[in-house]
Amino acid sequence: MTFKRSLTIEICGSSGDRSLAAGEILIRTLSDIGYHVISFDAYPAEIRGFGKTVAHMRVGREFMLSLSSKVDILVSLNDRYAIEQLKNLNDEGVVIFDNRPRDITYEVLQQNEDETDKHHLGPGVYKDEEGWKEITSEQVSIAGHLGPGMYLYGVPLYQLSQKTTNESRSRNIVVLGSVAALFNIPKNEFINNLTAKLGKKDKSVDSVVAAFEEGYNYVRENVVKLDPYNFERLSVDRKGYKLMDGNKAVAQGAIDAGCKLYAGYPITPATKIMEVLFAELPKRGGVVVQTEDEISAIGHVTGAGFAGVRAMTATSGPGFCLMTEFIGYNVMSENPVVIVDSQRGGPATGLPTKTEQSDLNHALFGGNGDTPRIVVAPTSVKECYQWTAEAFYLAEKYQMPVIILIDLFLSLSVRNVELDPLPDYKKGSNKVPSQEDMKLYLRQKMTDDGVSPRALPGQENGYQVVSGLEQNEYGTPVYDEYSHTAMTQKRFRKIQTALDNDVPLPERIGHKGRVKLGVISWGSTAGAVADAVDSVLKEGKSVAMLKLIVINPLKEKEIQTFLDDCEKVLVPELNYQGQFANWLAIHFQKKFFRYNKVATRPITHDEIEAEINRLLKE
Amino acid sequence: MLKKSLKYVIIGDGHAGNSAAETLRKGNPGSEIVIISSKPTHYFDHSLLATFLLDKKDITSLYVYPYTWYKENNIRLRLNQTITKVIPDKHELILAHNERVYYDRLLIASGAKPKLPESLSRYKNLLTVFTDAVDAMKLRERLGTFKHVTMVGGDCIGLHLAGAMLKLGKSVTFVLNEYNFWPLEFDETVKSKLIGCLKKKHIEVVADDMTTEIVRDGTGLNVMTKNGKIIKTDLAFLTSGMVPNIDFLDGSGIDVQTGILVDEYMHTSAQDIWAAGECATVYYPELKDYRQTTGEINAKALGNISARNMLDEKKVVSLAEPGKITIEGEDFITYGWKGFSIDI
Repeated sequence: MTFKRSLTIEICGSSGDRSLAAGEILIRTLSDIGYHVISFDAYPAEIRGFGKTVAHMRVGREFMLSLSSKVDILVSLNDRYAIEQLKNLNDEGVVIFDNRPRDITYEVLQQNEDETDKHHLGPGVYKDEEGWKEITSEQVSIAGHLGPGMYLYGVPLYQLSQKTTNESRSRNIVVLGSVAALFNIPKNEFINNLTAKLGKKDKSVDSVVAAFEEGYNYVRENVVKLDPYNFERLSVDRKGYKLMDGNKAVAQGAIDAGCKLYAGYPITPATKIMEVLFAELPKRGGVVVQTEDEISAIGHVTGAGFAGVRAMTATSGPGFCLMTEFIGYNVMSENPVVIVDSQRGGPATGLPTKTEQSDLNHALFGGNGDTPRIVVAPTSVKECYQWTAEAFYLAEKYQMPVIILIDLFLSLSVRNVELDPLPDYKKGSNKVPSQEDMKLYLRQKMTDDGVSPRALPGQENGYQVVSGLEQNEYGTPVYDEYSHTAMTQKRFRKIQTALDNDVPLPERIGHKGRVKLGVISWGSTAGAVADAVDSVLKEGKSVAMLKLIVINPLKEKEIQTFLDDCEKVLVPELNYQGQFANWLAIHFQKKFFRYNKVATRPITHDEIEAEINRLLKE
Repeated sequence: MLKKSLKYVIIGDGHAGNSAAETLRKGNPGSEIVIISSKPTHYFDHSLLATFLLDKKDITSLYVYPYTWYKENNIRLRLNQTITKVIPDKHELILAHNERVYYDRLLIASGAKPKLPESLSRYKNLLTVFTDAVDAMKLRERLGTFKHVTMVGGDCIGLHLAGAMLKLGKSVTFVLNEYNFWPLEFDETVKSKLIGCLKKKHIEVVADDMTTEIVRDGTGLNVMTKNGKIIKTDLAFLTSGMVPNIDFLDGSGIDVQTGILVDEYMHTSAQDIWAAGECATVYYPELKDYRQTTGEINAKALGNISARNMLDEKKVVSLAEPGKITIEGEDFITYGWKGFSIDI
């Protein structure tokens, strides 16, 4: 690969152009030949036949954790949409487009017919602030919109698609052939992934491979390559690596941690967790229940937790809101549940297909009363796996809800990761009552660490009353000051115990000791911060980063040490209020420089780098 | 009064087109200027093409301007895009990818393409062309695959290319035919001087003869001449000059002879369309006749005059100063090229 550090590729089309499928095949192929990949697709919220869809991927020789703002290679399957992407294309970027399209305004006309009132809007007409206007082919052809340093390559995608598959929808495959030829990507890997995607028995495999070959051969015979980009096969061993997104990693983590019940209601972007578990969990003796709503889902998980089964639900913001009452219930009844919230733009139904980190307040504080809970926020796909497993361990050990906060970016971002096997001790963490305990079983027994021995249903002498009411050691409902105070302290004591025993130290990256700028980050944004800090460290700048995965409870002593080391502290996050910065401000006396965006897309490493440099100059 | 919002479209990214764009930008800063070229490469210096073969420089080393120049001058560059039709009545161009581009004023500066003599048209696929940056790039990739080259005809770039071939240790044969296109004031004196110079460079010269047939011979070629000579060679370069590149004007109604006919203001027979450079056949009042122009010097001058007339000035074309090339220290006057030499 002729690269800077990495290259970013986008395949942009309308919904029906199958640009995401093309992106998936491309990313698999690049991973197969040894590259680190990280992808993030953008697609419309509504299920319909049109709307901009972008397969976005960053490809590098070195491990990466985040996306770039700038794109190096833009593949257009729909010029009208791809024109909008040109603003992100590097000055010397590459554009591949259809140089013999069916009709340049065809897609636009189709969309006009669908989107607007036909009585008022004829074909080839659009409305802007100045009124009705005719669409010109100059407006909708990408060829006229490139910067002077960009490379334009034309391939007759429509014609070649028609020739091989007798339909235009194989343009995405033709273009993959073109991409393979243009950037010297080994052809066989592509074809293997194509056939794997379609299934070898699919009758269309031959014609699809033919479409790929047409695109490949056209470029080899007709296109003069002038750009410097190539992806030759790397001689690295990635046998242990798996290509997966955050959702799949969560599902895999749950499976490997011994989850036996998953209950959920479909919601973007968490649905895939359920889809993976539907396919895999029953094979391992587990059960997946698609419930009627999210309240029912967490109800199922609560019941399973009570029965001693590791159980999980996954949702997004709106569903997470519905689960709030049960969070309190599980705090009060000291019942283990694992809840995954893959955050998307909010509030309310919000922006179903856009990413955000704005559920933190709800995860930390949602619910009535004093409701201690553990909140973890993995920062990478690999950590999605590790920390899902960890969440089961913690929930079971400390008998409380553990909330895994991921986001749409992490949920859907595909990366090649090497998963470390889980240690066996994590697979069973219930505090089993001793024989002595069972002589007079106290479900809410007062202990130094706050954790009571937990008898499971059916255990001899393990009778217990479980409710959402305040209780005494027997589990009997009580409402007196003494019991409430003691029990509240007990519930919070568990948090302290977890902090002392099971919360790892935050990871510090960069300079040790005093630095001019420290960056504290959480969730998926930490990837961009890590890449940015790595970059500025190479420039010799005095910067360090602290990455927090466990958001509650906080390792205050270690965080305080970091803060003391930093002249300035930056907290970047994808929400408007600076929810994490506010959370830190509750605990620490320090001015936090905030970098907040609700940009509907992840923060990129170059954005953070720019902010770091700005603060260093101030 | 010239409208500020005029859209000038220039077909061609060569000397004439870029010279015109520069003049238009200075003369009408608020206008929209678009250059459309079927070539994927930028405006390059022809005189560097042959020396490009001698080193490993990037192709951008051939470019006259960095791409940022176009950005700074707000000139939209549309490379690798082919025009298939001009519709003067509608002020429209049709591109191969079905796009229709509107213009207020159009300059055709589409240059020239290699001239393939009719007698050699059957052998088109056996001839190698060397006229632009892409040709140079492709040839450089093949340098290790041949030892002997034959120049079929001789134009400035051909002479320059021969110099590079010698420098690379290749042996060179020239088939000189005065009926082929020459950019020189070509007569018997010039011819004998030229032959002498070429021979001094250890170039085999086949004079007063012409190529009639080319056939494959294993991995190489046999170039056969009218006088029965058979030249065994690895590559045969088509260096017989250039002809205007104006096929896309078929059916446009614009008057064309060898090139696009333009008056002394460089205006074509169609409203709001001018032509300049090697694609144009220009009426020179000094000659009281039309002349097919060639070379960088002419192209730049004509591009500039066309642009000034597109800016509503009334500038009359005049003959440019001739250029020269040198061979073995001898100067040869050319119609409009400079910077070329076989003495690389």
